Amino acid sequence: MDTLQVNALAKNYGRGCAVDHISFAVQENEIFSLIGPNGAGKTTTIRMIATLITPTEGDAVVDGHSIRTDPVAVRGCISYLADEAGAYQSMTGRGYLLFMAQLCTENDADARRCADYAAEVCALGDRLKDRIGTYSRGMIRKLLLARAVMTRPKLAILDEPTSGLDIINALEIRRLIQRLSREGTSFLLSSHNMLEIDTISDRVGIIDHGKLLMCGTPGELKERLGAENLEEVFEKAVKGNA
Amino acid sequence: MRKFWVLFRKELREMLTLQTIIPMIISILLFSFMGQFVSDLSDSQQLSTSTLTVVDEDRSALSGELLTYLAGQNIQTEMADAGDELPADYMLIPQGFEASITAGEPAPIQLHNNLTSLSMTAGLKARLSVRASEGIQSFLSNKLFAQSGSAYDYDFVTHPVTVHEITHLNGRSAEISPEALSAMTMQQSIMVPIIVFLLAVFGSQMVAAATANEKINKTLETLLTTPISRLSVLAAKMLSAAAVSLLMAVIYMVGFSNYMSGMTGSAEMSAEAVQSTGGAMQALGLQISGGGYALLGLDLFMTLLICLCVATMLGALANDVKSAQTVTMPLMILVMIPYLATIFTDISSLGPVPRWLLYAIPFTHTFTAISNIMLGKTGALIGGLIYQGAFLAVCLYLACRLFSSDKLFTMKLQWNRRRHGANASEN
Repeated sequence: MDTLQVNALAKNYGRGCAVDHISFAVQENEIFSLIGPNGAGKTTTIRMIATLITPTEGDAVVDGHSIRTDPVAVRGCISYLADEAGAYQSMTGRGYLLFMAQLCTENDADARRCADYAAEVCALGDRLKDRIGTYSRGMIRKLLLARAVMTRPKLAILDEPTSGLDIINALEIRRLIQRLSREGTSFLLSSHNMLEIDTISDRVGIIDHGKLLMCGTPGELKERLGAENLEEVFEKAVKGNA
Repeated sequence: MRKFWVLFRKELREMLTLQTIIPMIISILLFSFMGQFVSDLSDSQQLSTSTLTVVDEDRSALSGELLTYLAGQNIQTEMADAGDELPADYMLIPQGFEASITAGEPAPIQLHNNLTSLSMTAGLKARLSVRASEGIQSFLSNKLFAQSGSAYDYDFVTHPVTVHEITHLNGRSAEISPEALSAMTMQQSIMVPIIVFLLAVFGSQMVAAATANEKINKTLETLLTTPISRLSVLAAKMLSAAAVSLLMAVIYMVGFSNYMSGMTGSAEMSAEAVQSTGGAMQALGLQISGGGYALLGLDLFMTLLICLCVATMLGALANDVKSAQTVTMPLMILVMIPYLATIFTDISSLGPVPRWLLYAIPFTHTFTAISNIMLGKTGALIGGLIYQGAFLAVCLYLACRLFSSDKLFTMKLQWNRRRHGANASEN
């Protein structure tokens, strides 16, 4: 069963199509990655699915809810982590998790349960009692990722989840995504890191000039384009489209 | 509603930081210090530079002696007759003054003060005559003690003069200390605009910076993908800024009232003066009813909401926190223009072009509300309120549209780079 169905989704800012009628689906427990050069339309696609901006045409359905007709219901079953997102510097890590949990749940008991789960996921221990302003970039990213999955959303949308992180922190976050996927959350990722995409993605969509060029498992794409790795796949796909 | 209060508390915590609280405390201390400083300065200036007009109807040896005494106290006097064209402020020594003193009865002195405005300096002008009357009281008391010993009643010797302070305003008169009247009217006519100004400036800056900060840190994106309505996010921001602004205004006004007390000496006002103030205000037509205060409060709240609404939009369209401060400058100027105009001039007396230009600024109606209420200009007051209501409705509509649309993420104000201000940018 598909957690996300994207049907001919398009966005026009008036200077041409940023996203040009793309369609794809993300299945339950699947990690689906969108890759493409800068300005290809990845972030616009992700923002439309996250209900931040409205599509010009087409629709996306998350767990049966349309982003056009029922965005509030969509927000109830997704979570979104923006590229280079920050958190409230004056809050403690624990305070931030509880604050976000209160916005995503209907009562304080549920909120505490979610915050406890997030505290376990991010594994920041006693540092959760400290102000976020004192955290390193890696710690903030782990905190935000834990926030993104604490409600066990049907679909977690992560834009560049490991950008700017060192190898150890990036590895930990990738393992976390894989574990959470096995536990029932579907992921829609956007990344420039081909190694990361190759390692954790079940399927990959290559997007350029707002169009979805091809879609498949990393193995399928490599085989189709006769490439040794995903970087070559990316290069051949984008150059072939130019 | 639970989620709204969660957001509201978060906004309050974000705004009430050490960086905002410490300047408030410093301001209170500065205001108190400045009040005392200005008080000392104005006292010495009044005594050394002003001239007191005296109408001596008694023309007795004693009244002549009093004028000589005042000259010795560095209070310059000039004589006038009751039939002359008298200045705004003068002292009247009535006929029979010496006879009353000789008979052992308190003699009256009248201090006439013609207030032409309710401005800050109105009360200070009257202080010279008060100083003079206090000097006369002291001089006569000492003289009687030296001359007669226990021949007179003790109360008479210690207070041989009864001072009647008569204040004139708009053709009406009432027996009241101009200081008491000035302190009271200042609270209403000067302090209210200051409250409005402080509320508007602090609230706008705070909400614009907070909104810009949320957008730049992308915490706004995170908030807007949670199952809470965008309008709740907007409302929480505006109401928390309004609450913090009110708190700041109260704190600043405590400091400012210390400043004003130091300047006008209202802290030393006698109990009788305080009690008589209400009646005198009524006699002069300066009393504000409960309904008047309600209208004033409504006016003030409208202005605050307009400012916060516009600041929220500007902050949401700013590139960063610093530019959020810059983009709110036009708003600050629009608040400052009517603020200064109401302090230094009577807007209703201006020519039609500047008058209507000022009336087109919605904040003007709050700055003029207090005088409209005092002078019974109900039509102008209600008209201003209706205009503010319409302006607020337009601002709220635009803010709701902005927060519900893609422009929140795709549009940026770049006034320093482009004359026309807005351009769109996306990934």
